[in-house]
Amino acid sequence: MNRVICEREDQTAAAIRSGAIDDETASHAQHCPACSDILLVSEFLREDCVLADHEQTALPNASHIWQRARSQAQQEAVRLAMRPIRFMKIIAIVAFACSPWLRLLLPIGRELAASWSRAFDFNFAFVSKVWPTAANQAAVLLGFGAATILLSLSSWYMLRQE
Amino acid sequence: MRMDEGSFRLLYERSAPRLFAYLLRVSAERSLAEDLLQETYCRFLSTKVPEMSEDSQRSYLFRIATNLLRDRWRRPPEGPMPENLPEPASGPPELERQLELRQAFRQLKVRERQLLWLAYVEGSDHKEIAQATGLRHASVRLLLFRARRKLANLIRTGASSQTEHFK
Ligand SMILES: [Zn+2]
Repeated sequence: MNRVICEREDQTAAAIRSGAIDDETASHAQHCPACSDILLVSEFLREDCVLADHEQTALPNASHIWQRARSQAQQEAVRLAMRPIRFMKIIAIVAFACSPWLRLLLPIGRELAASWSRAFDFNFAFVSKVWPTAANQAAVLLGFGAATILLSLSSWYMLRQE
Repeated sequence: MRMDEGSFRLLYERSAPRLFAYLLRVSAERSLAEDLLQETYCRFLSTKVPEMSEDSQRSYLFRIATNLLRDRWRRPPEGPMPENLPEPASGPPELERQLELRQAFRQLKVRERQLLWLAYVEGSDHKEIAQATGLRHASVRLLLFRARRKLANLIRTGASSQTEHFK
């Protein structure tokens, strides 16, 4: 009884699957605990499978599954298409939230550009002219943030309509 | 989508009854089996894999279903396990016996039920079972042996108690 595996196991299982159990296999199974278990369990499961077939009065409709799969695929496509837009939105929100600090950083950048121009003996005087005043910098940043958010929202709306 | 609707219908007609029987018996819950059946086909349709034969498609479906069953049983249960089967107290003795044996099958772990069903109903070999269940090839033989032993003992116990009952 301690024998874990019988070398004829696969043969017995194959005979059961084919539906034709020869005398040799049948008589072997009578004395082999492993093979008699296989016979018993297979017989039970196969009977149960037939019963399960009878219980399938209403399998889910194929069209319903097809529609469900299609709508899942569409949702997934939209999710993928939305990824860059979501990314842009996050950038816009971060830029908007950080705008007061960015405004503080801008003079440092201007100073850096000026020092580089001196280092390379190149006149960057136009930078000071083009660069907006502190008040305008905040306005520009606000405008940029709002524009990005609006762009993202409009793209999302367009994609949703599609 | 990996195929057109016509091809899907054909595949569904040929494969769904067996797959549903598997899900129904392993999950022992009709509504769950129906949900998992739908989810299995949805996942199958959304997976981008190379062209495969119908047999391979069927094995692949069983693989998805097996994974879904495993995921379902990894989650904590949402409530008591529903009993969708009729009580064994009514009906002819043969039906009663079958229902008792089915109860015996439900006493096994989900993994054991999967292994037994795949091996003895679907006729999958150890390699195919290993692929479907994610178990190591070497483990399948031993786990299958244990599950078979357990079920055989339960069937024998059930059968002997039935004999006592009808004496
Ligand atoms: Zn043997």
